[in-house]
Amino acid sequence: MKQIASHRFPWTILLATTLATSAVACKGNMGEHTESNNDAPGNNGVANNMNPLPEGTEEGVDADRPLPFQEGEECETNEAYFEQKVFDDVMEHWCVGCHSEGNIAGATRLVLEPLLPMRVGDEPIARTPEEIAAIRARNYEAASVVAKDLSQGVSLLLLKPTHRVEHIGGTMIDIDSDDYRALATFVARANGGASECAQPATYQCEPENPWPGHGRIRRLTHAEYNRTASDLLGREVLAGENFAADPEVGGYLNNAAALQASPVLLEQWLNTAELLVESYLPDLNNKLSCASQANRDCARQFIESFGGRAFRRPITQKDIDRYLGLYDKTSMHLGFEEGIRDVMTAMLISPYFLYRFELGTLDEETGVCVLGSYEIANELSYLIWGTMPDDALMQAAANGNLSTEQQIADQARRMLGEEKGVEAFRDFVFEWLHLNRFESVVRDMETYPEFDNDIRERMLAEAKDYVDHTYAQGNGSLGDLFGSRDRHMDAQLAAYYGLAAGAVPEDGQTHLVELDEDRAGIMGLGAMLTTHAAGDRSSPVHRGAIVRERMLCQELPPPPPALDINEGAIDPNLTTRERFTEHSTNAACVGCHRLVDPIGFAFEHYDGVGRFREVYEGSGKPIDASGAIFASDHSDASVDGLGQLRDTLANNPDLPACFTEQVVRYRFGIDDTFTNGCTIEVLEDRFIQGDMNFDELLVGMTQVPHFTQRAPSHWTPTDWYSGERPEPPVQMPDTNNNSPDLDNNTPDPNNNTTEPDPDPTPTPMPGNGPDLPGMGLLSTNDPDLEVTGGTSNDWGAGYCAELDVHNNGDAPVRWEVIIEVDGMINNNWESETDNKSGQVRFTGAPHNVEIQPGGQAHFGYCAQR
Amino acid sequence: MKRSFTRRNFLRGVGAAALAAPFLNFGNRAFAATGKKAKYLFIMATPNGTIPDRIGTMGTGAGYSLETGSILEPLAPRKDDILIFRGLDFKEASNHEGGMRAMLTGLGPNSIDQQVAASIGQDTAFKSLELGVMTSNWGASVQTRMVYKDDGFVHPDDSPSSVYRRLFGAVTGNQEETEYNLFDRRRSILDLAGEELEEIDKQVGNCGGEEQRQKLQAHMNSIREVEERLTKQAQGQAMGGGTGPAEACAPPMLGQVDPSSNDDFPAIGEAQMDLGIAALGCGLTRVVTLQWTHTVSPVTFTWLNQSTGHHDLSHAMNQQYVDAERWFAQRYVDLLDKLANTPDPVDPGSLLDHTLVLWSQELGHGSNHVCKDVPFVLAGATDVIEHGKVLSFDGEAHQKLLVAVGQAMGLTAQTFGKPQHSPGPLDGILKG
Repeated sequence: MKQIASHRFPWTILLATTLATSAVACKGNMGEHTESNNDAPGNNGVANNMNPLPEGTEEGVDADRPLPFQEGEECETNEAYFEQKVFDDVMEHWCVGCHSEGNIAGATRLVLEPLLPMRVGDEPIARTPEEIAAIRARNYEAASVVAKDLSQGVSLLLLKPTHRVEHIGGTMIDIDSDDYRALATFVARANGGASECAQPATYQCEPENPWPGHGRIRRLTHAEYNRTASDLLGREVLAGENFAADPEVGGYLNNAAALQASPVLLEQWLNTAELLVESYLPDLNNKLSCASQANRDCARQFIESFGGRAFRRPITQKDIDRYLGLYDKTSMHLGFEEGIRDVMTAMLISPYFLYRFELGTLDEETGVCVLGSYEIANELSYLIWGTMPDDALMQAAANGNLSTEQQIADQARRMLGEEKGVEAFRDFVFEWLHLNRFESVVRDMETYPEFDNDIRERMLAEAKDYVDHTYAQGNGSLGDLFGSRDRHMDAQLAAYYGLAAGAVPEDGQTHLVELDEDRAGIMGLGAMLTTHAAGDRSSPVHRGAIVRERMLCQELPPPPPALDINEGAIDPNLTTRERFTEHSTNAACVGCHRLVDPIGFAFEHYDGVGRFREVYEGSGKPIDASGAIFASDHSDASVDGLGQLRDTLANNPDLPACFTEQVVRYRFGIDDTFTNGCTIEVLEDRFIQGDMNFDELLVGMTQVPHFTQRAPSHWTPTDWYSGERPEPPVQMPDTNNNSPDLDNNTPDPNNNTTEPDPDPTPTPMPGNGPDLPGMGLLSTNDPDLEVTGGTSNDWGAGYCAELDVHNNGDAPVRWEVIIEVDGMINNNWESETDNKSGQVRFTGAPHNVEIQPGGQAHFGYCAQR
Repeated sequence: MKRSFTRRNFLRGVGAAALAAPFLNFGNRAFAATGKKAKYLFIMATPNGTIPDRIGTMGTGAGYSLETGSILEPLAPRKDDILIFRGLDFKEASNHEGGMRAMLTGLGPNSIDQQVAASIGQDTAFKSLELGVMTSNWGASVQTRMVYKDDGFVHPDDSPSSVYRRLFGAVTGNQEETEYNLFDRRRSILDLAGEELEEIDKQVGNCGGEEQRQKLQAHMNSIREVEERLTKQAQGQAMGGGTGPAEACAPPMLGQVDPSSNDDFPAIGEAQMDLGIAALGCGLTRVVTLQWTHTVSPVTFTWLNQSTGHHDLSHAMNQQYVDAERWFAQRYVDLLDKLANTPDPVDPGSLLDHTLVLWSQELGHGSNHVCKDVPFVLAGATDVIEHGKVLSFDGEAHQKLLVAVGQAMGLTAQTFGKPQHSPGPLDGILKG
């Protein structure tokens, strides 16, 4: 069993060490703060820091806020808790910069001693274990004093950083953050208000059976909508690009919890559906073989075939009733094609089309929700392809061939063998490394006149091509993505990059080029280097941040407010590194920038538009690309140049671990890497052991419990791992009721389209007996005939009826039914009529004119009142 | 009895051509000038702060002037028609994200437009209309959203053609041609989706739980809102003419614009402005917000021959940035001019006379990331607010401005957003 803790740095607080309400200059990073896309918004998209503080301040030691610890049998000492959870995770980053000797808060009640280097570029200080222990002891003592300093019952250590009392640095720690909870736990312990044995919540990971998460429904992202609609309709659909944007959570646009419907999006779906249908219908005869008959049977066929594909599961009787009802209503007024139009439009805004279902059905014995075949088919399809299942996958679901892990893995491998997954993989990589912003990054045209739209398009194509090829080459791996020297480019792009003349034939075509070692891999892509640069120069900050946040999974906060990051005019005689000295001398900047800039320096051989350089453009001074990684889990090293940085990352477990985490977040649409930590760990191990092969990772993702089962919504991970099986707090409506299953768990290979509706059970009516529901007087020509059914749909101004005639006798009967029709019939089927209103005699159509003993005939009509 | 409804009619219905019948409905008449409150609210927002020193107001009160070359100089032709605010702060908010969140909400759960819409938007097809110009470069997040309802985002529509279709797409032209028209058909289609949601809701059970139900509820609420809208649009159309001048309700002729093309930015904005004004003139809504891009936006003013993104400029604080801010100021003037040139559909005077028009920003000093001295401008609503002044404050909470906006729109509350910051409206705005 492993202890799972959060994989990410607990740096999700919003504000870093800052000094004063007056502006503080942090020169050298104009416009380069990584504020373009921090992870601040929660699932509802509202920044945590905007939440109002809890009402009232009678909090004692903040005891009315639930603390995330539970009583444990053994626990670490207060000192150990402080060391790990408070100092290393919180104070080292957010307090020490100011609250240390010689710095701005060096004369306050809280003076701490740093353990990490204080200045960018400094080497770690060599200290003996005894020295470190002494520093830790002094820090513990200093923090404990402030923790016990209560103001109206609340510790200053909680009041100050949340700015509930004056704190010159402003708000530093969000009250709803892990950091705050760590502080609160420490305060509680220091004041003896909580058990010393209180421990932060942790989960015992069982690699054999990681927590699978709860059942859920997932709205298609706009990208998934586009691909699904394209596959469904057999033409490229791009309309989703202009829908009200999908929510961004953790840098990704597919967070399952955040994806919801809204009024504007609903209207956009509806309008788009109308337009898509409009362009589908001119060719209806070729798409629907029965269209020339233009009858209700054909509409039913359409509902079953198109609906089954749109909903990505078999159509149920209730679906048919519902959509035939819509068809009847429209076709009665406007004819067959308009009826089909509305059916199709409705299907394209149906929740069964717009959502994916991962709910499962409750297994009474285990209490676990088991996903059905079609749910798993959809998971597979969107995991690997980012679009709807193909026929083979649907057939596998229908045949019950997605029931075992092996069957699922086999399907996954079949699907990975097709090229369809390339776009979904590229979408992930582009969102992961923010390459999706390359198209809109802006460069100063005076500084970089060569970076025109032509070149930009070529660089984008190169990047797409690089990612696609790395993935599609069967054995694509993270090692390839970071290490391949193969590029496809034409002579123009080769010249732009400064490749030797003749390296690429000047025939306007792209050719395979092998680049030199330094710019191998995705980090050396022109698009990557350009995206993470500034308007008119390189940017160690942007480049260091993308490595820190997306390759090491250590998230950084945005820059503090009231920080003047306006550097004024740039002195062209300074090197980039010289311009960044402020970061290493200003306490407001050091906290973050020592973690960022040294990594970014390793990129310095590349200018702001992705070209190699030996000297700085302005000063002519030689490039110094020496840098370092600090404070990583396993990748700390001094590096010189991009090649060494890349090799350091690629040869240590942090990168594949982080990559796994990113893939899981994206593909499973989750952001909580804490409760899902066990699944991530299992997959990390598999990924690393599998030579970092992408296909192995994706297959591995189909083999974890998350893929085939879910915990009921009232279970916690602790319940899961401890074997507790709590009853639901309130009895929810039973999932095993009579409504049609979202997913048919007992697929019938002989009938994968429709099932008879078991409810309501038709009650046969005697041949000349009382009226049927909603119908007028009715009689038949033979006492052996019974008529069942009735009005199927009534909207006031009109209605439709569906009837069955049963022959209970011993001889065949040519049937006749006479009905006192309310209103005027404008459409009838599987029958002939002698009249359209009043007493109408219905007789059989050629195919059902005679009913055999024990047999039945079906007919129906719609009428307008 | 049976009416023909051919595809040709359907196409014409959703096309641009046939708009014979304006959408005027009961609401306009019922609302006509009762006491001193404005009928319409139009908020325009621009991002990435400003340069306080270059805003360019000289003097305060009625005797003010606008410095040559300054950011607000383009407002000079409308100098006597506007109120300029200096020295307002966002309390308890700073930085790009904090500014976006606080700007129109005052740190409450709803933005002022939504609060006003809840009060005066009941009769119109759209309680409020959210328009955007490239608002979502990296998805919906606190950086890219300024309109809030119940602490959640209200998303702007960035596509003029989508807005057009939502506003005018159900116009069936020759309405006597069918009694089962596009409104009815859409309602039936939405009803069906609602039935399906109910069916799914029953299946969520213990496996999905409350969180999944809430998603379904959000979808169901959306359906209800759109159905209500269709009902109102149908009623409005059935009413025919109305009493106002027809030119008030003229769907704009839209050119081809690409909603995600940087170079189309001015054209997208122009189209959205026209659509917002047409929505007011047609009685489709009373509350419009127009969000020009978003905080930290990389939009580049190529039409001013610039090649540095707007956010980068906000840190350079150079002449290009001033030029960009002047361009935004000119858009506000354009908006006022367009409103002034559109007659109110019901009452005497122009739309501008009856519309409170707010220009807001999310930061003060753009480079410092502070929400202090955040500039605001108000105009319109002739009988309701004062005009022709600079109102200068020393760090007053901007919630008080939002209270005044609410009161100008007929709300009676004395606070808005975080209540401790807004006891009453700012002085000097509302006419006595």
